[in-house]
Amino acid sequence: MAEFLGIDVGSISTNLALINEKGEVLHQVYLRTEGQPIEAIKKGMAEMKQNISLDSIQVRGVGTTGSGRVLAGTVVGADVVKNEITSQAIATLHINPQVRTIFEIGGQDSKIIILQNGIVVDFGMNTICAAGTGSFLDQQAYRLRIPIEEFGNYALQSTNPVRIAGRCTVFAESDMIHKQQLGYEKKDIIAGLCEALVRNYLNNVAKGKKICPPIFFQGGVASNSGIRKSFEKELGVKVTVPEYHKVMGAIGAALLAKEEIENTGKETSFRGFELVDKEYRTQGFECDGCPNHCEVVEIFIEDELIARWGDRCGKWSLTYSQVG
Amino acid sequence: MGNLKIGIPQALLYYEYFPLWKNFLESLGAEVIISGPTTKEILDLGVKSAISEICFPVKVFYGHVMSLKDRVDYLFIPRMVCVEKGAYFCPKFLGLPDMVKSSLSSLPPLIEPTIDIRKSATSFKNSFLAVGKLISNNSKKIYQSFYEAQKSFHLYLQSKENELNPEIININQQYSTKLLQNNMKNPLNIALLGHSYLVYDAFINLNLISKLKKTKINVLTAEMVRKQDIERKLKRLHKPIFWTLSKKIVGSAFYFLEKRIDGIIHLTSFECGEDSMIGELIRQESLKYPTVAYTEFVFDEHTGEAGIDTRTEAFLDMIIRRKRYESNHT
Repeated sequence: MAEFLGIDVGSISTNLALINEKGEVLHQVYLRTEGQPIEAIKKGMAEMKQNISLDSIQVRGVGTTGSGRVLAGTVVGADVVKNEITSQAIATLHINPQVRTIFEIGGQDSKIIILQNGIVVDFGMNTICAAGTGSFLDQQAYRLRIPIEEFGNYALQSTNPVRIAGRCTVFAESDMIHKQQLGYEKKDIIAGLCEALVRNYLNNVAKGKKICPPIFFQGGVASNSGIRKSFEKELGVKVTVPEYHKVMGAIGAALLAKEEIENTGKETSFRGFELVDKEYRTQGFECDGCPNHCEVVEIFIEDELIARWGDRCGKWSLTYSQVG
Repeated sequence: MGNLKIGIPQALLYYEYFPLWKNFLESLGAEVIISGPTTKEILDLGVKSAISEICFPVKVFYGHVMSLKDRVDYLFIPRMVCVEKGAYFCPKFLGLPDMVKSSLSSLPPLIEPTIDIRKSATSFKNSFLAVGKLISNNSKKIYQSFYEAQKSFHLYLQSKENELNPEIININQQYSTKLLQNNMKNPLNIALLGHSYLVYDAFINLNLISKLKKTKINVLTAEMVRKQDIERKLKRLHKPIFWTLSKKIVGSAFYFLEKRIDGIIHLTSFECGEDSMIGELIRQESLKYPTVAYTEFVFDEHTGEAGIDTRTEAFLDMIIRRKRYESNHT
């Protein structure tokens, strides 16, 4: 058998997906990055190792994606390192080639991808501000003492959402506190927050984009049924949350690895599941070669230097940070 | 009076007029000192010393002023108001010398000629002649230096066009001969449009030009489009644009859209009023050309390399995969 592994290292979560030659998902792992991407990757790999029988599996290719894709690619020995837009789109089209619009809301960024005839024709990402992404919802759930998993259900119970200013997370928070002080119910405030986030998304990330159904909603925040409902209410069309919405990036990376291996006939450079037992280490220094003072990072396996980057001029770089 | 050290910050209009300024000042015997390319240190200095409400490019300018001010006898900061009929510079350029003087202390004296052809057609020349008098007593030499600097500046502008125009001609040929069917082998043609102080400042735009060139992309810029082509394209607007620098950006965007190049990336500054207006104009026009991919990158002092890399990569993937699809289906 030939399997392909995809790893999506985001700011908040690290996801893994193992697919077979037909592109079916054999196993998925979703866990929190907690600011330690290498640890998260190792943990994810260990969990996957436990749940599959290694004897019947042969990983023929590995792809990485997400904001930590270059680091992840270096750590596991990836065959392809791809951006999140392409990975998400590839995974969605694999599941349903008819999809025209993807809403993807993750931990610290959100995107919209417009598809036509099975290819990406336009996309948008949030610009300077992370308003309305998963981290903010996490923070508010914590402040309201509600587990994030329950957030959506609270919103669904509301019949009278309160209007919350969603333009900026700082203002949204003060607005929510103000509404709490006035005595509004938790569920109405939470529902109001969901609506504010959707408004903000549609007015910023999706600004000027033509949104056509079918629409897929994916990323960690798609687990929040309150947000999905607000999207449907605002747009007046059905919004589908696919089964593997949390690991779509990882599935896309795996599919891209499959495409790469099949096109080139290369052997995979995957370091194998043994890497969970290896010691990884990073260290940094500030280069004083010029006034830019770049912060250079070095990655070691055991004591062997495997990569170095972070400099603008390239005099320290040991791996090519890929564009395209 | 020779050997006066005159400092020119390598920011803002440096990217438009530097050859003119340098030739003029040097031929009169002054020593021109530039602040050099933007660095992290310069950016930090700028963000720290400029007022917080001002736009990002002006903050960068402040950083360059700070890094120059103790090394020169004069700082050259012209007040550019108007150089053509019906169009002006952004109000921040109009007030640039005042802004710098009022918010920075211990500055060397400023050379701040006002260039405003609305007041008199000879304002451009006169302001240079007045500057010349600060450096030299020889009126004849000042005249001569001005005319020669102006002549070589026009040649410089033309050479930018001529040198680069063959690439544009090349695009037309590629399209007409259907070479694109084998597009994976051909370089992609992508235009980087925006204010020259964003497009050509590699520190601010995180090395975008060299990153694109590394992936064998043919990078096109507004400087490669002839002025008459820009003016012609702008005629289709209901209302003329009255910002000199934005005219160039919009006109060349329309030009490249009509040439149906592969993609346009519009580089903008977060707090820039002009950019927010013309960005929308270009975006709306781009909708009429569905085969030309269009995107906008926003820059400010917090812009990280990861975000720009992701957007660039996704943008290129989109174009490459679309072309692959098209060549498989025609």
